[in-house]
Amino acid sequence: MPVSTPFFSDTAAAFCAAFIFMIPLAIAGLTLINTGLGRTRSAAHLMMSSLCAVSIAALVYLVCGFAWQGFAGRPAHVLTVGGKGWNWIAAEPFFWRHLALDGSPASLAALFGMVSVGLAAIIPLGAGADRWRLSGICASTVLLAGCTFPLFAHWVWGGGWLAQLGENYGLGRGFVDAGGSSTIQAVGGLTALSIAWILGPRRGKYTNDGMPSAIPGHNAVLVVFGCLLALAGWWGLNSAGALLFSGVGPGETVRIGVNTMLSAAASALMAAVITQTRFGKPDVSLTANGWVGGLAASSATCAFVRPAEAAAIGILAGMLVTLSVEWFELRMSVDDPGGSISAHAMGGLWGVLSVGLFGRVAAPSSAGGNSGQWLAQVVGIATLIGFVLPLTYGLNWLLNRIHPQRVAPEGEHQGMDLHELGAGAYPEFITHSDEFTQR
Amino acid sequence: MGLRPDATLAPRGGGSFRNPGARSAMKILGFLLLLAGWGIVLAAVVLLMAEAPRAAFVLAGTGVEALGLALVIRAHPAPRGERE
Repeated sequence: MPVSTPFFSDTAAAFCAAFIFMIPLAIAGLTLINTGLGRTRSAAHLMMSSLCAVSIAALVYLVCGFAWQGFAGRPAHVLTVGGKGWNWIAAEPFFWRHLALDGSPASLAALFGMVSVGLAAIIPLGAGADRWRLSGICASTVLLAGCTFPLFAHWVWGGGWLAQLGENYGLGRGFVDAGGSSTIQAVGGLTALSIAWILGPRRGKYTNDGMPSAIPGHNAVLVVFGCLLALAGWWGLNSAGALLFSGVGPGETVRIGVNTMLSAAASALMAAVITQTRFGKPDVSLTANGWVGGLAASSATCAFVRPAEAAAIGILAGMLVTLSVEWFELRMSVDDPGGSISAHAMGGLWGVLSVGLFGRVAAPSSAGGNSGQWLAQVVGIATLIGFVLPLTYGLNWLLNRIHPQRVAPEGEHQGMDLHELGAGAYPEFITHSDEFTQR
Repeated sequence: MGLRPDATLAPRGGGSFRNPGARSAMKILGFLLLLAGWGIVLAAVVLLMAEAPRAAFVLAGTGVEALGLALVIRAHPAPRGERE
């Protein structure tokens, strides 16, 4: 059964467009966070990579991304399984042909997708910082923006089979994700995990006995400013997503803003408390990761929970993100300089689950009530881990076989800025004397 | 992340599988288990109508996925002593 196309008034369309125009602030914020948590010798490379990733993602999304993502009620390929229609991929023409850019819900969804795929594309940069080649980043972004993101976004936002779980199988309202905890954060975070596995850790990260060495971020000011900038972007992201894909009215965006802020605040404070308790002093980078994890978790839930519940979700997100950073680094030997895997994948997955645990999602009258909502969310999580992770790992593994993504050892020693760009981010400051020592 | 080293936690990833061939096989098996777990979840949604059995099989599918994820994690070796 097809999901009906939502109707938008002119006011709602104007609100939605304004919120979408705020999303680049989230991209800017994450870029600053990733750069601040990396080394000085790779700062310009990371900023340049982010700009390239966002640009490539937008162009690829124009070519084929929206054609495969689509929008509810528009053309799609449907398989019939057991008498039920399984809408698995959109059937729009390439290059946005037949899409009138007139403020209709479909055109707003296309604009939203073009910006949000850029946000998803910069998430893996934090995990690959200091060792991921620019050409590899560009090629990997093509795969993310042209395949992984549109496919999963269609299932969730384009009236696909996950969104239809309520109509077809009585699982609440089907899989629900207002602002992209799954489609943007978890997809980007799982891609970051794949990249971290494929690239391996930075040289010098692990000692002979396998213990990780601390390689602290180079600029805490950038990190914290990035966090505050990201909040403004997330307000736009969550509000626009909820208007487009969850059927809420413009008035509901006040609640969405409050919930987003509370989730991030509670998560960051929880991370600060945990690091204070464990290490004696609060850790800036982990607190920043907690903030981003709270934002990532808020995206799915922002339209469906009360403020106190949003704060509770944030507290649990802060615990999860902080402990998982340590788990990835110490137990799994995954080197993730920006904390992207913990903040985005773990935060996003927790946000998706918390819709089922805390959310009040109105099920359609044809569905069997709201009792199966948690199961729909679990099916979505199972799809992310059981399908999206192997898909994104496989695509990037193949890419790595064709075009190695890790920089040569001398490039890593010299720094990505000088090796790949020929100039550093801070040319007036000589911070690494070994870069200029004749060997 | 610039995390402070904690001597109480020792890294484990891939420590048991030093042979590259065994690690590759383990990785492939892990990814196949991830896909198999997802298949169980989908089959439960399509084939089972009653709420309790459907939920049980969906959770069983996610359990299979967890097993596959554990294998994939173990298949990625812990690096040792790469000097900068």
